[in-house]
Order: sequence, then C-alpha cells, then structure tokens
Amino acid sequence: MSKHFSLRAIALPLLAAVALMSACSAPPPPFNATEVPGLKYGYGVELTDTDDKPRRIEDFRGNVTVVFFGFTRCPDVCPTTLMRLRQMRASLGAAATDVKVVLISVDPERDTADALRAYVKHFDPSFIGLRSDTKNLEGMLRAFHSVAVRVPAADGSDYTIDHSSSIFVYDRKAELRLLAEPNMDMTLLAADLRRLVAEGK
Amino acid sequence: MRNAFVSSLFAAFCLLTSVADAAPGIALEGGRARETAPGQTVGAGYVTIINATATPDRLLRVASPAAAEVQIHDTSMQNGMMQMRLITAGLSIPANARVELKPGSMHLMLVRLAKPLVTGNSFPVTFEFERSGRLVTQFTVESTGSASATEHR
Ligand SMILES: [Cu+2]
Repeated sequence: MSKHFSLRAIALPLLAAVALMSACSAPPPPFNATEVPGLKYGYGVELTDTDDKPRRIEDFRGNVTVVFFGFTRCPDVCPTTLMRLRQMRASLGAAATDVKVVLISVDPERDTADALRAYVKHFDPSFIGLRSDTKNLEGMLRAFHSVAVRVPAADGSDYTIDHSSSIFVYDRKAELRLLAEPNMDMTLLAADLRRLVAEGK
Repeated sequence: MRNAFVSSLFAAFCLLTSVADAAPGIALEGGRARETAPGQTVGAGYVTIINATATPDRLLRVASPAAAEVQIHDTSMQNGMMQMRLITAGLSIPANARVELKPGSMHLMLVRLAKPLVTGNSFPVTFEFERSGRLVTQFTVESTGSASATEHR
C-alpha cells in the first residue's frame, strides 16, 4: 500500500514536468486550413473598390484579409460562400473588426462598381468588392496564381465563369498564409482567423 | 439458389409496391429560393425530389412565372476550380431515391427574373417528369441569412 503510494507520489510530478517540457519545445499546432509560407500573391496589382478608389492587396496590411474570387451572376455557390463568411466573421466577436472579407470579381465587364457594391453589401455591409481593369483581368489573375475561364451558354446568349475556388487568407503583414476551400467547416476557419488576429499588428 | 429465390421474391414485392403507389410516384419537398441582391437578375432554387416508386424517372423541364427560364444546374468543385454546368439531358431520378437540389451542388437557376426575389414571398414552379408528368410546387423565398440556405454539401 505504502509502496504504491510512494510510486505515485514520484510518478505524477515527473509526468507533469515531462508534459510541461514538451509543451515548451513543441511547435504551435497546425492551422486547420492549408498553411503557405507568407506568399505575396497579388502584389502590385491595381484594383479598384466599388467607390472607384484604387486598392492593392498589400494596402490591407494591419488586417487579416479573406480574399476569394466570384461574380455577381453566380447565384449558387458565390452567395453560399458569402453567407458562410458572413456568419463566420460574425462569430469572431470583437476580433471581427480586424478581419476584412474581399470578393474580387472575375467578371469586371458585367460587374460594374454599382452592381458589385449592391451584391457584396447585400450579404454584409462590411464586405469589400474589388474589380480589376477589364483589360488587366488576365494579369490580375496571374498575379494571384488563379484562373477564370468564360464558358458560353449552349445558345451563345450568355456565359458563366469557371474560376479558382480557393479562399486566400492574408495575415496582418498582408502576406498570404492560409488557403481554404469554400466548403471548409467555418468554425475551423474562424479558429484560424482568431490566431492570425492574435498575432498582433 | 436460395439467394435467387429471395431476390425474385424481393423483385415481386417491389413490383407490387410500385403498382400500389404509382399514382403520384414523385413528390417534391422543401422548395425554396434565395432572396436576390439588388440588381441581381439570376436566382437559385432548391428542392428535394422524392421517388417512392421502384421505377426510375427523369426530370425533363422546369418552368416558373418567376423567371423567363429555369435551368437545371450542377455546381462542382474540382482541382481547385469552381464550375457550374447546365444539365441538358434532364436529371435522372433513380427508383426509391431522394435527389436533393441544394446549395453548392445541383440547383435550379432562375434566369432573367420577372422581379427581385424577396424574403417571405412565394411562387409556383412546375416540374415535368418523363413518367410522372407535371407536378407543381410552391417555392418560398428565404433570406440569405437563414441556416438552411447556407448548408453546404
Ligand atoms: Cu447555376
């Protein structure tokens, strides 16, 4: 009985010490989304917001910025993503102040500043719509290592656009840190964003 | 041998049940559309198609006074690309199956809306099936803040 007791008396603090030591040396747990090493995707690209003000992705420094591609005539998956991001951002509470959500149009020809503003603000007044010059769409996409392809309707009257689905998350230094897919569990993405917000300004 | 007997018995049972409920055959459930943002001329609609019979069917056409055209679409995410495709050959509805049209997946695309889709409003949508003929259901417009409208596959 007493032998048993003494063993436990030694083993427990020993275990606790080992746990503490390993906690100190262990790398931070991985993010839920795919981590990338601080890339500068989209740098130097001249975009304009829906008030026709010039914006560059690197100007969002200081915020945690969630960027994805879409277009206003996309009635299914783009609204779904916007709605999920709205809920996700709302779940962040006070941390949401430093989180910006940006939709970059892959259809600047039809997505006028007015159309894009009405579309993104409908989901969340804080959401930001950005457009590239129609002549620079290809260059913009290349800078973001993304693609968008026009697919004409069967009768040629209309077109839809296949586009990169990834959601880009930039940290406070405006460096690309995370890649997420739009169907990712938003509570997991929210946890990642909290960590990036906590990294400090 | 015994297996063959069991399966033929099962087939006979299925045949019987299909005769029993051949009357409507297909049911439509949870018809809903998403409210549109100002200026948006296309909308998305979702519904569950239930085939309670042992015979496959095919959804050929969809129409509604709410839009000039209602297209059956499929959204897919493959190799990092988001794609939306028109299903031109009709949508096959297997026997004894539920086919769910839902966000981020198969959906109805309401093209050239007659007027904006406003939360709480509803409108009729007619479905034409190869076997079961025409069926009409009401679609209710849901706010873009509602939970069922964000469900993702
Ligand atoms: Cu569609």
